[in-house]
This record gives sequence, C-alpha cells and structure tokens, in this order.
Amino acid sequence: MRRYLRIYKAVLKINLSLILAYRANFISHLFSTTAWAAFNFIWIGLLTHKASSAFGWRSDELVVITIGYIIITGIYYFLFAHNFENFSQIIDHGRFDSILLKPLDSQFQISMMDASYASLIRTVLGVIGLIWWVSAHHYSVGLFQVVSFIVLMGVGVVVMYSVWFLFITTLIWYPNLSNIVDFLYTLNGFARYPAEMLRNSGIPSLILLVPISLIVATPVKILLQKNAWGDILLIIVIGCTLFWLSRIFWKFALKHYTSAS
Amino acid sequence: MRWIRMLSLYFERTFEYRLRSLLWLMLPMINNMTLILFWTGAGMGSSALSTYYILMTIGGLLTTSHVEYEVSEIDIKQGQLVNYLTKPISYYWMNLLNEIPYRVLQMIYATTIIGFFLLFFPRALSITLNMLYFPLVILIFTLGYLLSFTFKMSLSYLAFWFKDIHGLMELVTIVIIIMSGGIMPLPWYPQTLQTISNILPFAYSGYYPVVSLQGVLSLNQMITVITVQGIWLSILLLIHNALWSRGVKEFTAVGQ
Repeated sequence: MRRYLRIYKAVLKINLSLILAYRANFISHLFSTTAWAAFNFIWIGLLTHKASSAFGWRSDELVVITIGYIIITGIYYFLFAHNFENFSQIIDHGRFDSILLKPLDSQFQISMMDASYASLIRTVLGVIGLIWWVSAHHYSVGLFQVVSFIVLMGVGVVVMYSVWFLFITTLIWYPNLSNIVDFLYTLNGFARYPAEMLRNSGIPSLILLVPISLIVATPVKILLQKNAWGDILLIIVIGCTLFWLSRIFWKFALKHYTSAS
Repeated sequence: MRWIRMLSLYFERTFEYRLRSLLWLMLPMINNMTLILFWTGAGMGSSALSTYYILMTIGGLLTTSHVEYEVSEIDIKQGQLVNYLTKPISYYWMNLLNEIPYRVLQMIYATTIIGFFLLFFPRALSITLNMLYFPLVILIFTLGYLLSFTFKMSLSYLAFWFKDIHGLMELVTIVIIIMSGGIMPLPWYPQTLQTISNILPFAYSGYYPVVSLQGVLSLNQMITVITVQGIWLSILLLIHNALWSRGVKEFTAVGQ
C-alpha cells in the first residue's frame, strides 16, 4: 500500500510538471472545464426558471444537487477520467502489453497514471458556489453535515469509478468502441437529478442506473438534513459491491486479452 | 464518376463501425430521456413535450455535424491536410461527401426510432404535420444540416492560426446546446435568451427543424425559417471561403 502511495505521489508530481511543459494545453483544458461548470449552472438555472419543484425537491435544492454534481465530477475527472479516455488507444496501439509486463497492478496503471489538474477548477468553483448558495438560502449546516457530505462524496467517487471501470473493461474485447467514454460522460448526467426520478419513473430498466443517481443526491440530502439513512446504507453497499465486481471483471477480462503488438 | 467512387468508399468506412454509430445515437437519447423524466416529475410532462425531445434526438442525429475534430486536429494540426491540397477536389465538398454515408446511417436509426414509437408508444409521439408540407420539412432539415456543417468547417479553420482550439470548440458546443433548444423548447427560455437564439444560426439547425417536423409551424413560419436559413448559409459560406483562402496560406506540413 505504501509503495503505491509513493508511486502515486510521483505520478502527481510528474503530471504537475507536465502542466509547466505544456502550458497552452493546460490553459485550453482549464478554459473548457470552466465552461462546462458554467454550463451546469446555466442548465439548472433554465430548468428551475420553469419548474419550481420536481420529485419533492424545491428549485433551490435542485441547484444544490447540480453544485454537488460539479464538485464530484471535478474530483473524478481529476483522478480518473483522462486515464479512461486513453485506454482505447493504449489497447489499439499495442501499448497495453508493456503495462501488463510492469511489476505494478494493471488496474492501478490504467486508472491512475494521468491526473488532470485543470479539472480541479470545477471542484473549486463548485465549493465556492455551494458555500455562497448555502449562506444565501440560510440552510442550517453543521459540522456533522459537512463531514458526512465529504465522506459520502468519496463513496460517490468510488461508485462512479466502479461503474466506469466495468464499462471500460469491455474495451479489451471491443477496442474500437472508443466513444464508450463519451457514453459514460452522458451516463454521469443522471447524477444531476434527484434519485427519486429513476425510482418513480416506472421504467424497470432504469433501476440499473439508481447507483449513479445516488452519487450526488445522497450527500446533498445529508447536507440539507433530509431523511437519507436508507440511501446512505444503499450507496455504501452498492459502492463496495460494484468496486469488488469491477475488480473481478477486470481480472476475468485480462485472461481474454490478446495482444495487438 | 470519381465522386461516386469516393462516396462508395466513405459508405464502406461508415458502415464498418456500426456499433460506434449506435453508441453515438444513445448519447442524445439518454440526455433527452432524462429531461422528459424531469419535466414529468415537475408536473409539466405532456405528449407534445415528449415528442419535442424525441424529435430533438432525431433532429440532432440528422442535422448536427461533427466534422470539427477531423478538420482541426487531424488535418490541420497534424498536417494531414497536405494530402487533400494536392488533390483536384474542393476540401469543403470532400468533407461534405464524407459526411453523407454517416447521415444515411443516422437516417436509418432515426426512422427505426420513429417507427418504434409509432408502433409501441403512439401516444408518446404527437406529430400534427400536414403531409403536404413534408417537402418543406426536408428542405429545412437539409439547410439546417448545411448550416451546422459550414459553421463547424469555418470554426475548424481557426486551427490554422491557433493550432489548439479544443477549448474554443467546447465553448461553442455549450453555446450551441443552449441556443438550439437542446435544454428545453425555446419559447420556455427567458425573453432575452429567446431573442438571442432567434438571431443566431444555431436554432435554425436545431430547434426549427424539430418543430417543423412536429407540425407546430405554419406555412408562413416555415418559409420564414427557410429564408433565415438561406441568409445564414450565405453569410457562413462567405466566412468559410475567406477563412479557407487566408488559412491555407498559413498552413505548413513538415515531413508529409
């Protein structure tokens, strides 16, 4: 464990130095990620301009869900998303063999070698937005709510990672499906809505997407002191199960990998 | 004859990766489905609104061009453009030809989606189009696509000067989603935003083709839309030609 932490610390340093080497690329990425964060604010602003409530959530509470979404996606995109974007090319160009030959866990290498610092701006903007919104609407938020919110956001990141990794693993069989990452970005969008939307939809197949809808809604419920203990237990169980499943599926997929090089 | 041969090669390439195309289809479907569910939960769901989002999915497939990555990143930034400059074929028309098979594939998907809803969920689709106006709808969709294509081509030419325009492309994508009625029908927007959307060309490749198919527009409104599309297409073609002629002079391709 300590070895992997040391390696990850080195990875973070290398990625930081890459910012200095490719400044224009960093600024371009910073610009686009800020634009998408702004888009989420505009998006919820337009929806709540027309709808005063949805699924038992007031419009101001829906805004908190969106802000929570901006925060968690900033963290997730910083840690993992850029790695998964590259995976299709890694397999297609035969570079996966060299990854498998290294004395380092392949899942760790695939998931964590690229850290996108520009994406953190989304989290920063989200946190600033959340503090401003909470104080502007006089929500009663104590230390317990804040700590629970942070911990559950962490659980949400684990759920998001596990869902993505399950899908990304299929690239071992279908490396041409490089747009599966775009599909996953879209799937993440379910996290912008209350969890009740999928539960009450009456469409059985959407139940499979409930884990994603819990990612943001659960920590926000704790923050707003809504009744969330059932969802908290559910997301922790789902997080652990999906993470274990993603690991098992990865190991299974590696047995079926045929080298391209 | 060479155009037919080129077209058939592009068809082969497009139909080789059908699963990828199907995945691209699912992206707008998921986005629009969540919006249908949201409005239902807000007590504002209706068959007209569901129809709008279903047709928005189809409209997006048919009228939204995605040529910008190939042109700016592959052809200009990586220098592959030199392969086309030496050919006696217009780069604009070559890319347009390249897009046709993809549009045909998307049309097959679009027809399948509409057929599926008409067969199994007829109440979800509320289309009141007078079939006599259908040729006008086809014209509106065609012009809408040409608007999107010409705009994206022109935007991509900025790579001649700025090399990496990824950030700008993302910003433009966001503006297009908002201004083309991708979030909700334009009449639901605040008045200022509605006015801006009606001035810019994006609503004429997104929102108006969709509502023309839905049957919401009268004959006069359709003719107005076609006129505005024609004006915008003329402006964009002028901009395109100016950017292309200046941009090619800036272009360098080392070691090609």
